[in-house]
Amino acid sequence: MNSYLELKSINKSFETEKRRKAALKNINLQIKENEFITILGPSGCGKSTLLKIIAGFSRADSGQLLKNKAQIEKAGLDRIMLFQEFEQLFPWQKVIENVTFAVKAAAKNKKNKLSKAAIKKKALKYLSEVKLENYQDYYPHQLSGGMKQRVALARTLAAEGEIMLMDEPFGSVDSQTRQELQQLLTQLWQEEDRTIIFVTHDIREAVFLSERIVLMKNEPGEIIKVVENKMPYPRRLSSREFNQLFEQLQGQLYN
Amino acid sequence: MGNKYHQRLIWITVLALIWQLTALSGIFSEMIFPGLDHIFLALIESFKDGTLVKQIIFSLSIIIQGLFLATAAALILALSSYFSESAAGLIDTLTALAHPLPGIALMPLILIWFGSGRTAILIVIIHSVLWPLILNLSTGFNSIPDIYTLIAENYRLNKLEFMFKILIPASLPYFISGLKIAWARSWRALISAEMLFGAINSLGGLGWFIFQKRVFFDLPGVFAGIIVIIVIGVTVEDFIFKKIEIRTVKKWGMLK
Repeated sequence: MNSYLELKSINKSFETEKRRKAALKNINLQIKENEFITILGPSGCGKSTLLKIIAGFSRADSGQLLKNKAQIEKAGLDRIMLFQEFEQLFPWQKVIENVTFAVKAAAKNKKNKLSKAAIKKKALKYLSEVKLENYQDYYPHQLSGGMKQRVALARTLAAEGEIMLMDEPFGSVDSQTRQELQQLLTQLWQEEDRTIIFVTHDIREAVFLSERIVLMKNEPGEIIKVVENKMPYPRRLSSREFNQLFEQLQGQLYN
Repeated sequence: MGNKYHQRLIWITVLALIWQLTALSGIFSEMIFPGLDHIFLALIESFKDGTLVKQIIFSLSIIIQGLFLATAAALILALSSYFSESAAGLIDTLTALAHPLPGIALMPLILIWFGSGRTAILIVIIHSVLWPLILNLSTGFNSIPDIYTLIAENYRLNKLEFMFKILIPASLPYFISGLKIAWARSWRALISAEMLFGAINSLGGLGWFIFQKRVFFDLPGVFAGIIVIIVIGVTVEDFIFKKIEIRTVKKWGMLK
């Protein structure tokens, strides 16, 4: 197995009023290139903290984080985070401008000079991938929650980083929109070469989306198990296989 | 919104009527309580001979210059205090000391240091604008969502890009409300400074204009000056700032 992204004995604790609370304990994980992996666990298990460490927003107390054997030190455009909060879009920018923001940042990072037309073209391409090309001149506050998250997804895609980090991005939308977004995400992932690390507490979401599921537990945040999910895409929530895996994971999470 | 102006117009008419009736009733001498007809005649007269227009231009040009300089300074200071902790300490201390100090209290000092010309009035205006604007800008900068700083980090924005692409637009509602306070304070400061500092070559602004009218006991002239001051104040607050808000923060859904 080629180890593309490697987490080696990562530990992280937070200072609380009385004691140091271990948030993450001895996390070891190897992630393959272009893999779709979910990190699944109850709230407070440190899964978001782990994602922030991978993003470079926060540092582990000890342990190593390697990409292609090189140590990752800080945040960068190769690991773009998609957040849960709707406010991740800039309200003062139109939908298209929110996406060109990422195109421009990526071009500058790669020292590419892109013409205005080329920037817009690229942004429009990603907007049409999330099926919002007709909303390019809207402002974020004019969109529904699901549409906002789609714009944010387009922005994340437009940064053209190899790795996309997703911190429960569909956690604040209604369940129907959530299913649409999940479907869209698996489609996009199959079309493009991207590694996705997706954090969720929703077992169905994990089973629907990913090839591997990392199960985590609370106090301290530890990996219980990594489960392969070889079901072919597109997956059906009603299939027998789906429900078998769902029940197996439920048993393992809340034994 | 239309309703608000409608109501306002009605009440102004009612108040004007009461005024005129009081003046006509002869309870007070015409010298100290002139009727609206005298006031409007004085207003038209002052516009006709050009004296009032000159004073308006003088006052507005000083206040615009002062607002511009103070806004630039406030932006620089608020940004430095956002990025540097030691700058924040200094600027916070200065603001805490200077903000409660009325500009009027500084006037004797300014007279001695800078004389009584345009510079002196400008300094009073800058003082009245700078501190509230710094306070508002700093509050705005410090209340942007944490997620924005993470995004800036993630997309590798440098400090300059972060400032212009995120920090300033994200805190625009605070910036605009700071400018409103700044305008209101500087407009008051301007009128009082003009009265105190007098005129050079008969050019001393609106404050000086009404002060001058008082010297000659020209009450209709005094009221004419007051009306102009009210009209300019209301126009800027209700129309210019409203327009700016409608075209920016309201359009962006950042202000209800």
